[in-house]
Amino acid sequence: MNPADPSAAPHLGLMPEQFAEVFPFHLAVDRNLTLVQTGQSLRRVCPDAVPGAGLDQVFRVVRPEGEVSYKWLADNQRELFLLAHLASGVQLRGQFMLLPGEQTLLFLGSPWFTESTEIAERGLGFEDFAIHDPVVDLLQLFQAQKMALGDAKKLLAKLTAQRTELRAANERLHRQEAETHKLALIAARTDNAVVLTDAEGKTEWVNEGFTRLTSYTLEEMLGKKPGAVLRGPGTDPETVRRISERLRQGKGFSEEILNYAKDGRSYWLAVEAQPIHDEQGRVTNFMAIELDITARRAAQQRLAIQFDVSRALLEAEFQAEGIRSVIETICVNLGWQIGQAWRLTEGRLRFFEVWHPPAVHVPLFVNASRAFEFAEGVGLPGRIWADARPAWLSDVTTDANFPRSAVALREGLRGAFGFPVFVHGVFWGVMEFFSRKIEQPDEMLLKAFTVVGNQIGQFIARQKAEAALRLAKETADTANKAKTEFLATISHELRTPLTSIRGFLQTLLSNLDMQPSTRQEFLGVVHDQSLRLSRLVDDLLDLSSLESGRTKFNDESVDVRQIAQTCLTEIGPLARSKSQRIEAALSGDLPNFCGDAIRLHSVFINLMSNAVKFTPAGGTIRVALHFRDDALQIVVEDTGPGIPIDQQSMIFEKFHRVYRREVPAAGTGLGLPIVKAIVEHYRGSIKVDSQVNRGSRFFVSLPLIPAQNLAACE
Amino acid sequence: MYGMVNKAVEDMVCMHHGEAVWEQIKAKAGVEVEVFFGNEAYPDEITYKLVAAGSEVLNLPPEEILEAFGEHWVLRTAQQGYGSLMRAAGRSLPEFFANLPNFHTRVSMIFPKLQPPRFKTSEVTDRSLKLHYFSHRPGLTPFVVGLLQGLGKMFKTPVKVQLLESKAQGADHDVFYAEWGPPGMP
Repeated sequence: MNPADPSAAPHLGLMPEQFAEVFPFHLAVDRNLTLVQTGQSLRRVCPDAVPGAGLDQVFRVVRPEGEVSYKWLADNQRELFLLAHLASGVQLRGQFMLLPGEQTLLFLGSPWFTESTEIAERGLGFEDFAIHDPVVDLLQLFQAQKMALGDAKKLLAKLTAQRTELRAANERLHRQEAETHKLALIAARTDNAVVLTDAEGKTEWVNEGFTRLTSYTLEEMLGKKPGAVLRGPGTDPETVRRISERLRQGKGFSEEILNYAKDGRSYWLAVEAQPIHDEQGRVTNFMAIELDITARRAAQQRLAIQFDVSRALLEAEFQAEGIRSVIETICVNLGWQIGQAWRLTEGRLRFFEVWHPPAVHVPLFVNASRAFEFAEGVGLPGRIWADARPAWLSDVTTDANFPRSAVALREGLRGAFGFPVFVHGVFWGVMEFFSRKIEQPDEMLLKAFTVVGNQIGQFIARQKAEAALRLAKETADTANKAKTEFLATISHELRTPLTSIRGFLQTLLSNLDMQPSTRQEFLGVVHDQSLRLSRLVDDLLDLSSLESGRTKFNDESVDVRQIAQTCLTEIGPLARSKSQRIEAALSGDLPNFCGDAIRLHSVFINLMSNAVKFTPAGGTIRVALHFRDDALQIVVEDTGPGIPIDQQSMIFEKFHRVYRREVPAAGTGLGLPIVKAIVEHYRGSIKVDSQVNRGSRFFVSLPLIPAQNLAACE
Repeated sequence: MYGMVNKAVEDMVCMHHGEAVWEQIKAKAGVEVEVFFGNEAYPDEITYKLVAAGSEVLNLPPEEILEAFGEHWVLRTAQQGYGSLMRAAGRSLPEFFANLPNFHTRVSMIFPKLQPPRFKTSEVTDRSLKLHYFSHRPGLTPFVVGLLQGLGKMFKTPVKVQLLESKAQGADHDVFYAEWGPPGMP
C-alpha cells in the first residue's frame, strides 16, 4: 500500500457516525490494549467486544505471530491481522493503524467468512456491512463458483455415466457384431436353407443353402414371397393355409411341406419360421430355416409301405385278396394311379390282379393288360422276370420295350416300376405300378420293393402251406369218417347173414319134428347165408389186402381172352335163369399179357356178375374186349336200371350200393372197390357211363404189357 | 440468460413431472445441453424454447408456466444456491424491496455477462408499493408476478399483485402494484 498523501489527511476528517457507518466492524484500543471504541456490526457478532474490555479478553491474534503489545501492534501496521473472537470463533481480517497522538490504535476490518451461509448464521445482513465492503459479494462469487463446480461435477458424473454406458454399449455392440457375424456366417454356410423376409413375407435374403436346394438365386428371390415361388401341384393347400394364417397373425410356425425347385424337382421341407420383432414389439421380419427332409420322408414312406403291406397280407385270407390289398397299399402310399399283378402260368406271365382308386379311370389299359401275356424279357413284367430284380421306367410311352405304350399314352400313364415276387426262391410273378407323371427313378424305393416282393412271396408260400394243410386235414377227416362208417357197415354186413343163420338154426333145433321138406328148405337158407358170409369175409380180406398193398400179384403170361371166356361160362347159369342174353365181342387176336390171372379173373367176374345181378329178367349183357392205345379195353354193358348221376362217383366206395326201390340190395358192396383196386394196381382206369332206366356201361382200361415184351413173363 | 435460469426450469419440471418429461421437453425444444452451468451465459432462445416445449408437453399455457416458474425461482432455486444472498437482501418484504437495486448490482458483479432487468420502486408505504420493471426481454411479465408471489411466501407475507401498466399493451414498462398484509398472515 502506498503511503497516503499526508497533505490530504486534514480533508478526510470524518464525523463519528459517518466513520461508524463505513467501518461497522472497527475497534480501537488504548496503550493498555483496552477496547475504547467498537463498531455496531462488530458488536452484533462479538457482543463482548465493548469498550472497557481487554483486547486479549475478547480476541486472540491469530496472525501475524508475536508477543502482542501496543508497541508490537504499532510496529506491524503494514501487516494483515487475523483476529479470532474467543467466544464465537469468528475471525476478523484487517489492519492496525496508529492514530495521531500515538495513544490509540485503530483496527479496520471485517469478518472473514468462507461460506456465504455463515453471514446469516452469525445473524448478519447486508446492512451490517459497509457498502464498499466486498466480503459479501466475494462470498457470493465464491458461492457462484462453487455452484458452477457443482454443475461441472454433475456434468462430469453424467458424462462419466454416459461414457460407462457408452463403453458397455460398445462392448455389447462388439459382442453383437461378433455374434451377428458368426450367425451370418452360419446362416450363409449352413447346409440348411435360410430365408429372411420382411413383415409381409417378401424375401430380403436367402443363403447359399437355399440356392443349392431350390436353384433360385438371391437376385431371383428378392421381393418375392417364397411360398408363391416354391409351391407346386403336390403342395398341400391345407398346410399353405395354416402357414398364411400364422404369418398374418405375426406368429412363427413349424411345418412340413412339399416344394418345387426351379427345374420342377419336388422335395420335402421341414420349415421352422420365427418372427423378428423391433423394440416396440412390431414384427419387422420373418426368418425361416428350411431342412430338406426328402430322404427322411422317403425312408418313412418306405417303412410305412413295408408295414402296411405286412398288415394287408396278415389280414388277407385268400391269395388274390392279399395281392389286391398290397397293390392298393402301395398305390395309396405313393399316390400312384394303378397297380397290377402278373403270375407265371405255363411259361407265360399272365394277368392276375389289378387295383386302382375308384376315381382313376383306366379301363382301356386294364383291358389291354388282361389280354396280354408276357414271355421272358418282354415288356416291363417280362423284363423283371428275366433280370429277377425291380425295374423303373420314367416314361413308359417312350420305352422301346413296353408293348402297352400306345394304350398307356391314351390313358395318361407315364411313370412305372415293378418288382418280382419269389416263393421259396422260385419266381412266382411280377407286381407293376403306374403313375400319371413322368417319375425319376428312385433306387431306394426300388430296394424297398425288393423287400416287399419277399413279403408277398412269404405270404403266397404261407397261403400254399395253409391250403395243403387244409387239404391234408380234410383228407384225414374223410378217411377217419370212412373208417368209422366202414366199421359200422361191416358190422351190419356181417351181422345180417349171421342173424339169418342163427334164426333158422334156432327154429330147426326147437322143431325137431318139422316136415323134412321144410327142414331141407331151412338148411338151404343156412347154407346160402354161410356161403354169403364166407364170400363177404373173403372179399373183405381181399380188399383190405389190396388197399394196404399187401396183396401179392403173381404176374405171369396170361390169356386174358381165356379168362373172360371162363367168366362168361361161370355166369351163364345165372343169366339163363333170368332169361338174359349175353353178347360177347372178344377180340380174337389178343396177345398174352403180363398179369395175375386170379386178379384179372376177379375184375371180369365182378363186372359181369354185377351186370347179371342188377339187370332184370330178359335183359341183355354185352361184354367186349380189345387191345387199343397200348391198353386192354374191357367194356361190360347191361340194360339194367342204371345209376343215378349223383351216385355214380360213389359206387366204387366200399359197401356203397345203389339204392333202388324196385331192386333189392344184393351183393357185398365190395365188388367194384376190389375191381378199382386191381385196376389201379396196374395203373389203369375205370369209368362208368350210366343213365337211369337205360342201363350202365363200365369201361376198364388196363395198360398191360404184352408178355412177349417182358422177359419176366416169358 | 445464465444457466441457473434453465437449471431452475429443469428443477421445476423434474420435481413435479419427473426426469423423463424433462428429457421429452428438451428433445421437443431441440436442446442438446446435458448440464446447464449456473454461471454460464446461454442464449435467451434456449429458455424460451424450453418454456414453449414445456407448455406443449404439459398442456399448460406458457403464462401459467412462467408464473409458476417465478414462484419456484424464489422459493427453491434461489434458496438452494443463493439463499444467504436472498436472506441477506432483507429481513422482511419491505426491506427486500428496499434492497432490490443493490441486490441487482451485487448480482451483476457476480455474473458480469448478465443483462439483468432493472427494478424501481415508487409510492412505497408500509403495506404497498409500485414496482417498475424494465427489461429488454419480452413476455416475462407473468414470471415477475410469480417472483412477487414467491417472495410473499418466502417472507410469509401474503401479497396481492396487480399489473397496472403493461409494456405489451404499449406502456413504457410494466408497473405492478403489490399490496401485502402483516408478516405471518396466511
